[in-house]
Amino acid sequence: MAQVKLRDVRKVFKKSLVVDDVNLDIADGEFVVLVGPSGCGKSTTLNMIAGLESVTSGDIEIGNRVVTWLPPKDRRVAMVFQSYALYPHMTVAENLGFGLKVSKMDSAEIKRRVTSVAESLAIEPLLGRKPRE
Amino acid sequence: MKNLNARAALTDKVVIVPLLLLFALIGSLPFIYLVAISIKTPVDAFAMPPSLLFQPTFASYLQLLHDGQFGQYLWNSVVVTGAVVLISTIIGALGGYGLARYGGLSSFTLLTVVLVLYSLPRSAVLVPFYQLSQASGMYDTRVLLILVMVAVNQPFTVWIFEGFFREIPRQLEQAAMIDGCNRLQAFIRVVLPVAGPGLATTAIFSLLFAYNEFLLPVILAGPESSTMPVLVADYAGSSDLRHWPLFAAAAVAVALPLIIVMITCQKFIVRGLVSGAVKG
Repeated sequence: MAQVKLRDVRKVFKKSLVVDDVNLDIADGEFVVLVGPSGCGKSTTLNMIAGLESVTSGDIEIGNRVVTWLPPKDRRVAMVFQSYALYPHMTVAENLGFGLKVSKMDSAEIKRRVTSVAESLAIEPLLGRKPRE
Repeated sequence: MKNLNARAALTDKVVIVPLLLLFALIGSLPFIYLVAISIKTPVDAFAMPPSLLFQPTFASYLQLLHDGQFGQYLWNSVVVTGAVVLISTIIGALGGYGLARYGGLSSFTLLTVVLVLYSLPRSAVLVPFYQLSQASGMYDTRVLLILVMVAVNQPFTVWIFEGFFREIPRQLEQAAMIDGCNRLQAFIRVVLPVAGPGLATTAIFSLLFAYNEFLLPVILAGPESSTMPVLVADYAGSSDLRHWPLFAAAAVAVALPLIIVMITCQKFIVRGLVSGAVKG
């Protein structure tokens, strides 16, 4: 857990101002909901925090570390997409373990963690299947 | 309902299947005839009406194997085709991905220009290609043939890939990036496998083009780097009638690898792997 700070975060696409100088402090463990009409910049703000969009100006801090120009993989964040994206060419187990595999964890440990997650979700019988099956 | 299904199955068996077989037979008749000629002696090959009963001989195939040119041309075909498939697939994948993701007006303009260039008849660019090959001293080399074929084929591969990549949701690679991939890793580990059918389609069509192309090698390649279609044409154009079965044998030898490749690969030319990736 860590606190998140947004300082004068601004996003401009071409010529339209999408996010206008957002200042936001989120405490460690705090539950925050962004609400607003569609197109008001909620997703853009989230994408900027996750690092999927670049900021036009301003700074983002996660856990007292300025992450404004770090790529998503170095921010140690997790994100659930609005329409959830699964890797269709991988099995359920591979989908679950993909992040660990990319971080070069050894396969026995990946397997152990994937199995324990699958157990707590009661989806073990499905581990060998692919998303569309 | 059951009755209807049974009747439909019967119609399939009695009408549709025999009809399809008939069409398949008509379609492959020229090739069957070609195979027949290739195993005849020159005398049998010219019998009119064609002799149906004859002593088959593989003399033409043996002669082909002993013809040094055949081995050389076959090797040229393999090298040129392999290189063209590999290079144009890689460039096509990278270019198509770039155009699909960093789209906008510039991407549209580029794709249109590329399409116009692709639609030029190949004969229109032959003369400049020929002059360039002479001026650069690359005439009659496999490298030249590969370069030119990649250039001619490139618009096609970029177009196909662009279409496939555009249909892959962005969220898939964003998820990969959250999972710890950088852009290239997300592309190689997630986007490319999902675009597998596009990859297969592009590779197979590039293979067909490079392997079958006749006009480019006949102009730009001499005895050193010519590919199989040129050899077949050489035999066919020979005024020596005894070469007729030899020509047929060469034609069969050219066609055979392609037939095998198509039979093994046709199941890959399908789409829709991405269905089920994003639920929303």
